[in-house]
Amino acid sequence: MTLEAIVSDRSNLVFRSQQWVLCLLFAFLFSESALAQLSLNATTPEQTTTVQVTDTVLFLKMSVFDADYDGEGHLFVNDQGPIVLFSNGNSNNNDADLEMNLNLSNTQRGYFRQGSNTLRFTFETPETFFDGYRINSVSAVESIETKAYEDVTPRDSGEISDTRLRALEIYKRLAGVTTPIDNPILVEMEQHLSRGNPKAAARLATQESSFYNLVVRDFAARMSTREVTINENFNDFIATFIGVTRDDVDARQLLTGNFIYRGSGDTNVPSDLEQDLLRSNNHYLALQNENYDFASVLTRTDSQYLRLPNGGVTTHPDAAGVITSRAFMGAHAVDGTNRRLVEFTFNQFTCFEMEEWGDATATDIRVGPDIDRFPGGEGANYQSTCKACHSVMDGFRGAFARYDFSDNFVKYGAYYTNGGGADRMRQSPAGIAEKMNRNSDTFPTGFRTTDDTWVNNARGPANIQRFGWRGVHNSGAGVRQMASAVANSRAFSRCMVKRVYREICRRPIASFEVALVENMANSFESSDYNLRELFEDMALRPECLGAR
Amino acid sequence: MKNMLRSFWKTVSYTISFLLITVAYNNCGNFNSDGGQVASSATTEALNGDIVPLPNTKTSSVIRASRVLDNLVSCLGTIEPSTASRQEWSRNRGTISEEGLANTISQPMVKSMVGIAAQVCNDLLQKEIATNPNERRIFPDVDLDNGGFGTNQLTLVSRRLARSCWGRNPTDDEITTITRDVAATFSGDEDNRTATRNKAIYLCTSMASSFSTYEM
Repeated sequence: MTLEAIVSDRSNLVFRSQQWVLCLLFAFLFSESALAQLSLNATTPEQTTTVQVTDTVLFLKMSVFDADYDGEGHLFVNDQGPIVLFSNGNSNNNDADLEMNLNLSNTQRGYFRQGSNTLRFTFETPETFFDGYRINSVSAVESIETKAYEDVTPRDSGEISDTRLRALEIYKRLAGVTTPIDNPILVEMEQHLSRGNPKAAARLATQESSFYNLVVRDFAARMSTREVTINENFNDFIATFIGVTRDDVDARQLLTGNFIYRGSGDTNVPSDLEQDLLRSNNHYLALQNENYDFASVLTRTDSQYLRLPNGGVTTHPDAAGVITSRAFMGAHAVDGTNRRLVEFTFNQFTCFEMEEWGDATATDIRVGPDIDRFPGGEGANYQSTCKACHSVMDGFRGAFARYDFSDNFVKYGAYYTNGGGADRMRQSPAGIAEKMNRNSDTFPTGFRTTDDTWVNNARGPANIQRFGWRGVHNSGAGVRQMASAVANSRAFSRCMVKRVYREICRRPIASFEVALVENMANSFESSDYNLRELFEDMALRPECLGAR
Repeated sequence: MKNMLRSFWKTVSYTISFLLITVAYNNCGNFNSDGGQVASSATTEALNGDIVPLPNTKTSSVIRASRVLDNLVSCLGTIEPSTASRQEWSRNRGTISEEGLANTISQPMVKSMVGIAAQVCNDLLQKEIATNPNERRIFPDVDLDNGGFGTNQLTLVSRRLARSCWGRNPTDDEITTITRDVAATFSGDEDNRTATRNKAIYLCTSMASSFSTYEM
């Protein structure tokens, strides 16, 4: 239910009137019902309209213009109130359009009744600087999607076919939980299996919300943190994995996409972009704690954002999917020298530990000045124990040169000046995180980072075979280009196969299952890197379910 | 209300002993029936306690700590967990296997599973009490208001719980074990409302926290 209402004081009449004309024109062109509800009475300090309600109203979702003062307006529902508008009003909202939820107490929810309800918006004028506001739209949110399971009535008895049991096994692997054997979804899966269409059976299981809420969630959670554990709170990294899987997005975009997933506007959780998504995990934590169904409430935002000094946000110039998510940066860009970002990017998305892809024959021209070339006074020690890893790792490290995570949020060098505190970033040289060139007196002639270029030194024969580089991968600038090289490598496909196998089949892939990895990596790539299909295919494998 | 809760937790503690029997029983009777196998040091060359995978063989596992509550809500059909169930799960999840490997089952884990199952079973009971008797999903012929939970109803409810959470029919031996245990536990109690409701929670908890429910 949507309505339009305008409230203003006389001093803003001219300014407002110009906007009304535009509103009217827009309404006339696109929405007759909106036009019928629109009032032109600009001088009346209050205006009423009606909403239809069928259930308990949880909160009001509003689009508001110029909501800059706390208490500037009141709302009366069926003449009961007042409900104070804009309790979060501040001067930043001056002349700005704002999407906001008006939370209601239990008492205020009680003002509504089934059927038609009158909403009366008033303009309060106790302060001379109150300059009016406009409600662009308002809708009453009566229900939200939370996690829920079917209440299936089991039969008292009856034979259970092997095919039904098979369906249950597939269901458990993909949905992450068991379900009554008489659940209609198992009956349908059994029918698909009997007709020789196991893929359709698996598809039914991945349509269950718990596939996303539990299985994909755990799958992503393990990759999102330094501890590599599934016991991780919901965050932007996990949300994006769920969204990409649900929406059949090419999984390579997990590393290259300029988007994130977040709760839709219908969710009543803290959603201020700067405060609740960039400076904290409040938004995602609330989605988790309020038991929202991630499978249905997550929505894609086609841009990533960065916090600017002194508040405000800007679009991300180097967005790289989950690599530039707050969770991943928060795990790996804190302190240190940004080498951990390289290590974990490769560990999580190619499944190779640093020690595995170190190459003592690679050039060390990119190794930073903080690495001692004569540890213990012996150059041989560096050659034998340090160079192999640092040659390849420091080659890629430049991609992260502009990043730091401090004061609980991601800082990007181009937007900050040198210094400490939340509104500055320690840099050396300008625009480059100081930690990139830290301890440079250890080996002063080591490579000093001055930009975000990177070089792929993992191109020795063993690493070429290991990674299977494809596309542009020899060098580049910024995280997105580096992540693109990783995403397009064969190792990425193999790694996703291994990770999905572990998640679905509940054990790491065995050494005798190399052929399985190659076959599944081929079909993963053939499906345009569709993660959901990879999960489904994996759950049907005899290595996973047992052969019979 | 206090008495009811005290009685409820007394029931839960009874359940632990029954559960151990049930777990042991299931462990022998059903573990490999679906082709799943778990290696042990007696049968394979397990290194450092790891489970050794076998070609084209399902590796059995148990439910993860993060999914225990969802698993119970799903199989018992309580739709959403209550606040009490959520709190019980939060308190106990630390003792439950994080990854669900079959060789990580421990005594504290089993106790925690019982506690969580008891809360969800209580949710189920409250739901069933509020439902018209002939429309109840799990306790259709049990007089939850006045008392009355005889052997026939025990058998019926056991079958429904097994088909809900075990994914199979209970065997005759299991039915016998269950009815005998319930009868022994509540032998001195009158057949009144409190005893009937306690029996319902006891039976549900025992079956919902047994191995067949959390074997994945």
